[in-house]
Amino acid sequence: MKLRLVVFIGILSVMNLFLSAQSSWREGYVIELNGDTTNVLLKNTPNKSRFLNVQVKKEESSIRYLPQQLKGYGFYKGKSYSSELIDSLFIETLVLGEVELYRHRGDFFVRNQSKNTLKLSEGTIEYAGEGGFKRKNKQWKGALFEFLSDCGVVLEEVQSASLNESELTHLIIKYNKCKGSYFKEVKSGIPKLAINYGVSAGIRKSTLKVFNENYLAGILNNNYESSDLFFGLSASFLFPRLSEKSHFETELRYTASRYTNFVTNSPPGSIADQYETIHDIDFIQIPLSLRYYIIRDKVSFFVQPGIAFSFVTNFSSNILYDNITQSFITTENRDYLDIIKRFFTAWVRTGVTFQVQNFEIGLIGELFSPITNFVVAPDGFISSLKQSSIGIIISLK
Amino acid sequence: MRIGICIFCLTLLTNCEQDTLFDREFPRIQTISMEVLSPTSIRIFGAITQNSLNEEIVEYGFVWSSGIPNIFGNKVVAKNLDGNQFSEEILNIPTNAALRVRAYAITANNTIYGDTIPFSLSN
Repeated sequence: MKLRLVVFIGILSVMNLFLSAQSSWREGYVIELNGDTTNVLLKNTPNKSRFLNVQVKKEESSIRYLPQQLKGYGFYKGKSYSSELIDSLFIETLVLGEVELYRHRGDFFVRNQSKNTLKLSEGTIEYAGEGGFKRKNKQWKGALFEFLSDCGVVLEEVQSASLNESELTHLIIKYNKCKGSYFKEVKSGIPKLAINYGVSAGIRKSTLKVFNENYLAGILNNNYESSDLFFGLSASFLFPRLSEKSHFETELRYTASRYTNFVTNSPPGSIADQYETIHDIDFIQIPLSLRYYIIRDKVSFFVQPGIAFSFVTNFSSNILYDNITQSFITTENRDYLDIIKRFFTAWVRTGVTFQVQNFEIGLIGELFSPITNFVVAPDGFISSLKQSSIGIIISLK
Repeated sequence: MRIGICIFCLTLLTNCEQDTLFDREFPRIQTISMEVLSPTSIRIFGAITQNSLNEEIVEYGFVWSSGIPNIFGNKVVAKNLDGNQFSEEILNIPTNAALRVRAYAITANNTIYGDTIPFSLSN
């Protein structure tokens, strides 16, 4: 098991290194220093590096622009950035209009048409000494209210607001609407929630161990292995405005497993005793997980931890016993085990996905945490079930 | 494309056949169940399973006795194999006696018995 885990992590690392070199280009625009806007292809870099520079594709090569060289840039149906407030940074533009809203990491900037800029940040005020305490600095609320108080925004609204994108965007839009001037919420083209549906299929390998020192110990084999197909239907819940690199996912997956084993021995008085053990376990599994893309591009790489709920929809466990003597054969069907029918396991998936037109097609590997002591009858069984799988996923974007 | 994905899933589903069982050199016999018809008669159901070598079944039916039943004691021969199942009535069974019944089959090479079912009939 440890070896498998090491191999698994090794593959992840190699894929990560390989995929780090991949990139793609998205349609967008740049605003030059003279105010001209040009449609271009922009390199789709991670969010954290978009603040420092932007790469624009020029035929076979690309040109890297610093904030001092452009007024701003943006992706169509995506985020846009401006260097007009801070010379050395492209900061994200959230609302354009009579009053504008920008963001850089945890700080927000509000600017009016007179180019007066207000920085909203929430530091910590620390009072030292006896009875000292820490509290968040809420001074930004007073400053913001002064900025917006002349139209539409009341003090209570600002006082109850938190320093986050959603609430500040709401206040700035309300102000601009009150003013009756043109405004644009930059991210309005990006949906708050998108749901993608998909299918998955693959091979699940599992190892079942059952042992009872008082039940045919030394005769029955305790280890069973099974490789089975699984298939599933998935739904991904994406929040593009919040993150382009992660989403929640759930799946409805079906697997039917058969574990068999055949042993024979020769007790006194018989030619042979044969034991054929058959466990049939059909599952519906519902993994709930968070997928995080380490690389998000035409070729993407992700990890996806979560919990998988398992419901056993069909279960049977039998021993087919044959006693062969010189003169006759007796064949008996004996009930064997009973197991718990609902359980959950920790679960992690990793994979590589490829964009093909409107589809995202991926190769995946999965590990489930082992289930132990799931045999409820007869008493005295030590049991464990280990599962891993590989497969493909296809989702419609 | 969506139809293609559905067909792919259905193909996977229909291909999910489970492993076949171990091939034996003899058919297995099952005594499935018993139905009481009257205070002195029962109908008993059996099956011939896993006859992977297609051995010819020369005779099949049920045997019953107060001890371990075998073909040299009380026996009813069935002749109504339907698929792999068969049944037969056993009449004139003594009441208030602890008895056992099981299915059997005879092939060219073996006599095979199924599980033993204990039973008792009372007035």
